[in-house]
Amino acid sequence: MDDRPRDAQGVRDALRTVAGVNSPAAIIASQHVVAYLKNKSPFEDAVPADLILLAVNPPGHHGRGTLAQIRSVAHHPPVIILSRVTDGPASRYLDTGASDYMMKDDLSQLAHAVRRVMAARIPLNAVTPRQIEVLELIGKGLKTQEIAARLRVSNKTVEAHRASLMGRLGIDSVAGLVHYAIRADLVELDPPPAEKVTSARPARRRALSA
Amino acid sequence: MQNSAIEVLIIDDNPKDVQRARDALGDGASPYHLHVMVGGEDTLTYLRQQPPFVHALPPDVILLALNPPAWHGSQVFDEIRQIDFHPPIIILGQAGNGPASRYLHTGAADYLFKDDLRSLRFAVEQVVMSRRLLRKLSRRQLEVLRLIAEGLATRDIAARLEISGKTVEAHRGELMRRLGIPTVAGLVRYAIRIGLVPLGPTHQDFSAFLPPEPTEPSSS
Repeated sequence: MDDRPRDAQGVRDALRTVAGVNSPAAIIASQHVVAYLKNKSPFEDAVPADLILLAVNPPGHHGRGTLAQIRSVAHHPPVIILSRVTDGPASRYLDTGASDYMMKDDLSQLAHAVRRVMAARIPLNAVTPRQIEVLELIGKGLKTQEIAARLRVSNKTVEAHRASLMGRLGIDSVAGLVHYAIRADLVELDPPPAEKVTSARPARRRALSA
Repeated sequence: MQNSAIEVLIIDDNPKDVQRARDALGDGASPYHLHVMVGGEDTLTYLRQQPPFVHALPPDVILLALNPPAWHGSQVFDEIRQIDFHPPIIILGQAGNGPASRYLHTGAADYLFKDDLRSLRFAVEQVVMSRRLLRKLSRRQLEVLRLIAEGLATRDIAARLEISGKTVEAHRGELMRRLGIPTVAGLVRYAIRIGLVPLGPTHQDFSAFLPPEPTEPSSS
C-alpha cells in the first residue's frame, strides 16, 4: 500500500530478489485496505494477500490507524511497515501488530524481512483454523477457562487443542506457543505493564535486576 | 517519576548526537542523569562489573546508538545481551540499520530513530517504569521468571536451580501475584516485551525455513 508510485517501484525492485514472491498482487491506498481484505466491492475478485507492506508517508500519514483497521480483519496477513517518517518508537508499531518496521530509504534488507515473516507462518499450514484460534488466545495470555468461555467449548476441549497444537508445531511448552504466536504475528505484544505508584527511589540494592 | 533519578547510559561515538539525546531528555532539572561512553572495551567491562568497575552501579537504561559505517553498535548490543540481567536497552537507529525486529525481537526494549527523538523521554520512562515492576521480585523469582519465559518445564527449572518442583511452583505463584499477571502466557509476554528474554526459540521445522541472518546491514 503506497500512494507514491516511485516508492512502490523501489519496493518492487527490492522484492524481485525474493524467490517465490510474485510482484505485489495489488498496490492500493490505505482507505481501501479493509474492503480489499474482505473482498468487498470493488475488490470481489482480489487475490488474497500473503503479506502487506504498509507505507507510512507524510503528510497526514495514517500508519497506526490503517494498521488498526487491518488488525480488525480476522486472519489478516502479516504487515511490514515501510516508513518515510520517523514516527516515535518502533515499538508503537510492533506492539500494535506489525511484523517489522523499516525505513523506506534503505530497502536492502526488505527481501530478508519478507522471507522471515513468511517463513514464520509456514508451520500454521499444519494446524486447523480452530487450533489457530486457540493459539491466538493462548498467545494473548488468556486462562484455559477464559479460552473455553470465549469459544464456547469445555476446558477439556481447549486442553486437547493445546496438546494437539504442541504436537503439530513441535513446541513443547506454553511459553513456546506464546513465542511462536508472537513470531507468526497472530498476537501483538502490548506495551508492558508498569508500576503505577511513583515513589522515591529505593536504595539500589537490587539495581542489577531492575 | 519525580524525586527519583534515572541513570541513563548513552553509548555513542558521535558527540553531536549525544548532545541531541541530552536535549531530548531535558535540562538539568530533569530526573535523568546522563552518562556517556563510546562503546569500547571499557564500556563492556563496566557493564560486566569487572575491575575496575566492580562496585559501579549499572544504569537504569542504556541508549545504544547504531552508527554507520565503522561503528560496531550491533556487536556491542550482542555483547551486552550476554550479560546476565543486563539493563534494558533502547536502540537509537537510523536509516541503513535495517529492520527494527533485528533488535526488538532479540532483547531490545525499544527502538527509536535518531533524527526524531521527540518521544525519547516517553520511551525511556516507559522502559524504566515497566522494569520497576521487577523490583517486587526476589533474585530467585527473577531467575524463575526468566526460565519460565524461555520455555523450560517446571522440572527443568527445578533441576537448573537445584530446588524442588514444589518450590518452583511456589515461586511461580508468588511472582504472578506480585506482578499481577495470572497466567504463564502472560508472564512470557511480559518478559519478552521488556527484553528479559529474546523472542524465540523457534522450533526446528520453522527454523529450517528461515533464511540465514545477514551478517550485518551493509552500511553499518
